[in-house]
Amino acid sequence: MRRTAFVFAMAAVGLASARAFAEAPSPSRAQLVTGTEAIRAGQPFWLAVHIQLDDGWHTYWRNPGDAGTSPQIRWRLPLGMQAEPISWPYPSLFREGPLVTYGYSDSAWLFTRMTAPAESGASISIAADVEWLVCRDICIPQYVELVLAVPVAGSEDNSVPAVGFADLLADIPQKSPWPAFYDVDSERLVLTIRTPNLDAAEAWFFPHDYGVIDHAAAQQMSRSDLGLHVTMRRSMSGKDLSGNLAGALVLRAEGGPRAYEIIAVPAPKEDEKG
Amino acid sequence: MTVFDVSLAAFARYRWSRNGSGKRLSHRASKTAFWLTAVLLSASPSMAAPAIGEPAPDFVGTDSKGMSHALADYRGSTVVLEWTNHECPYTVKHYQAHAMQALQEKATSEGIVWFSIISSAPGTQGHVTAAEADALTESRKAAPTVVILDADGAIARLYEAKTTPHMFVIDASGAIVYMGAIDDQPSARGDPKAARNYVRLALGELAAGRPVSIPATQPYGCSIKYAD
Repeated sequence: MRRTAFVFAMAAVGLASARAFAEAPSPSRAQLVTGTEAIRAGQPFWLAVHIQLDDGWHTYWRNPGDAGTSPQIRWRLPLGMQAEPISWPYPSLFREGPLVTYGYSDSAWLFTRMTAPAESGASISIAADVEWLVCRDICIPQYVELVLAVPVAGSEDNSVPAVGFADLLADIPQKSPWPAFYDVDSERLVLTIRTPNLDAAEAWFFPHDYGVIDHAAAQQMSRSDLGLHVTMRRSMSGKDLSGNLAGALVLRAEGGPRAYEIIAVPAPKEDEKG
Repeated sequence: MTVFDVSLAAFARYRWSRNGSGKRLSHRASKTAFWLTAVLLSASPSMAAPAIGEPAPDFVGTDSKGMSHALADYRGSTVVLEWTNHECPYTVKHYQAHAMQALQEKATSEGIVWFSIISSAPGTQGHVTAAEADALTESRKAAPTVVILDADGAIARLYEAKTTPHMFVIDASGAIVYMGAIDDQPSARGDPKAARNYVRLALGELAAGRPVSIPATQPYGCSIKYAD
């Protein structure tokens, strides 16, 4: 079992099982993990499904790219508790022949912002049914039912340490402070981030939705006085693009990669451009 | 023509620490030359990428009996293309429930031509010889019109097929009217008979002379095992 630096708050670890392939050892494991912040009644806190992956295996992002399926979490929560949609750390790219997929290797942290019930006892029981796919040269579906009992601050049991999430949460794309728009024709999609303040050696845009771009095609970054541009190839068989374009923009620059959550509006008409 | 030239490799499975120490958190050799700064695709548009309402790319395939079939030969019939890999858990889900076979039986009994296409490269999961393909058809009680062996992936590339299963429905005029997932349950669990089967839906609408209401969906499944 791989040694980790993490200590789990009263974690009940579920064994990831490949349902149809019980005879093969599973190449991944999942646990529910809480952060170091104390959980207080009625207050939000971070929870994560942490998927550990054996060497060579990967799992998928919210948009898996050309193939694969995204992890799914079905929460079973006490009354009065809310779970937000997963906050996804930015993904990496995986190449399989002509196909490119988006996901994670080594570890996938599926962060979820939770709000504790306004009233609870000394501890809250959180359960999750998690389904995900791991692939290497073959793909193995994984499924596990996890349960975690989490102490609520003010209760007697505050002795259980938990994980420092700060570094890991930093991989979640931060909301972009700059306006963004996109131009699209039948072959290309050009994303523009309107700021002179962004520079990078390289950029990659991961759309939240499938079918917007050709996931495998190289992307080109450029700059103009309008800002930073990322030119992508449209999906040849993709859906019509209307409304906003959402995704994660990952920049590689001095000081390491940075990821921004982008919501780009359709480009203003020529006479409206500033 | 614009050349797309950004390195894919920079974003390939490397996760630098936020403090810029440059240390890779994840680094392993890939079986493909993933980290080469290569232009992945030239900007020249591929010949007729599959698109709804457009002519389905023509191809000639060899079936498990050694016979050649050209898609054009079947103009005048509705044709279903089913990409399959008998070891992929998503394919297994549909075949173990006998759901795919039942759809094949229904379709072929109504004069629809069903091509099961196996595009796994030699040495990869799902690759079979002609004899193995026939044995699988027999043991699974599958009912395609033919099983096409596409081990070099030529037909798969023509259709930009990505997953198993990945489904295409081509109408009698030769136009693609559906492409994407087999159904609305992108999971390896669950009963496919309880899902909304997009192919069954499209075939029913075609038979009734109605437009296909859901022409394109995101395919799900294992990646097609192309040669590197």
